[in-house]
Amino acid sequence: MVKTDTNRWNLRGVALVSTFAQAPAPSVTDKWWKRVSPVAPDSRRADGPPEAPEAWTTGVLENEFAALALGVARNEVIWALLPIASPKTADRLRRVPAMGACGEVLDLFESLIKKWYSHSDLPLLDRQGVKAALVADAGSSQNEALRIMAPCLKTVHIDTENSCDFVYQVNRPAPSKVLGGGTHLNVLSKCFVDTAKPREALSEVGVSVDADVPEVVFAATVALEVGTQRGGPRGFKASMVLFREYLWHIKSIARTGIRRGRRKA
Amino acid sequence: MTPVTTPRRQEGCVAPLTLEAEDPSQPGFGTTFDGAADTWHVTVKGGRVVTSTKRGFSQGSSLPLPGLYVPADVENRQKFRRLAEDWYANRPSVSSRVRDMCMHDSYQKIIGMGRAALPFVFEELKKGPDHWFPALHYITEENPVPAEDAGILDRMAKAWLEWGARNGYC
Repeated sequence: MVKTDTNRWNLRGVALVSTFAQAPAPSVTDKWWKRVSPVAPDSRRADGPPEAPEAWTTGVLENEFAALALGVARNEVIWALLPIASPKTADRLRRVPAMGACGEVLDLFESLIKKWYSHSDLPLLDRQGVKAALVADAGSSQNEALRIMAPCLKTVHIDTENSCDFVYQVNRPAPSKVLGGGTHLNVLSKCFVDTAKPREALSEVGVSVDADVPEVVFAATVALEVGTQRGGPRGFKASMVLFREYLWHIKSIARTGIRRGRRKA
Repeated sequence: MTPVTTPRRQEGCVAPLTLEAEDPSQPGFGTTFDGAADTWHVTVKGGRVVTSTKRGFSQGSSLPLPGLYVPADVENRQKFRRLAEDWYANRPSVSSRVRDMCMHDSYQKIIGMGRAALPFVFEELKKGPDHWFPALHYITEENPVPAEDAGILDRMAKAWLEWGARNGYC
């Protein structure tokens, strides 16, 4: 099997989305933040229309390259790690922004979320899924982004020199190795070329822009969603092992690309 | 070369969470996506989650997925920059009364930012004296300019910059 360059894939963002049978109380989510986050929140905001209020808590992690966000709306909860746009991250804004090597950031995410699953107040989860976006820097060349993408896709050929507006989306269901019992995971991948505008981004955060900073940069991007059908409610132990299995799938795609699917039994 | 096509979903697959295209009228911070864009665009600005109300981040989901996090101080800088540029470009001419210049909408909004605007006002003042003194006065409720220097822009700027340094703003 042709392996992709593992070190090439950085994590653009990752989020765990959980749905509960009942909406968690604000006092409970405050406790969650304290348990999970190593830092105090630097902002708490309530957003959204009255009929669908959202509450967001965010904090910059000590590495100063990633922020942790906790979002709650009705019975849905999102934990996310996302890149920071600030003068301190100026070097990263010269590319399509990312938080760091895929494996390392996923390990960090897992170490944080494990604390949440071990919280005694955690109610039963109806459903959970993980979203992640992997990016590989391609500089100023869209064709280079396609060349990076090509070895990731085992079942399609890309004309890397004469293509643009490339999109490939596929769902590769896989039986759960940890839950068994006919539980299947959806592993939905969407591959495309992402762009960023470094000059604009640097200027926005108040950093002077050198003449050699390009107007537009490209990155091979794989946006992933890994989840299960509604099979809940599940307890926190089963949810945690499922969450780790989701992360395993994401790391596997970063390591070996999108493989051929296996038919359901 | 084989043309790229999206394979049909396999029979029997359960419904996946859906990746949806981002609303192009609400681009995320510093990035633009092509036609394949997804919801990673949605931006957290200064702790506020900027979302598209038209599209959720996944099927059956009411929450959008956050994109980039812009700390509050960076967001304030962006806001100040926008307002200051507007004031420079559209304020009454320098021959007008100072009061008229300071009644400009963007100038008033800078005053409305309160102390969060002070570091940026002092940055502007370092570049060269301009009529930032009313804003500084209204925000800080101070006036470090000696009476004999009133109206002399260079000396007023010097007095305010010294005040700013003493109080940790520059």
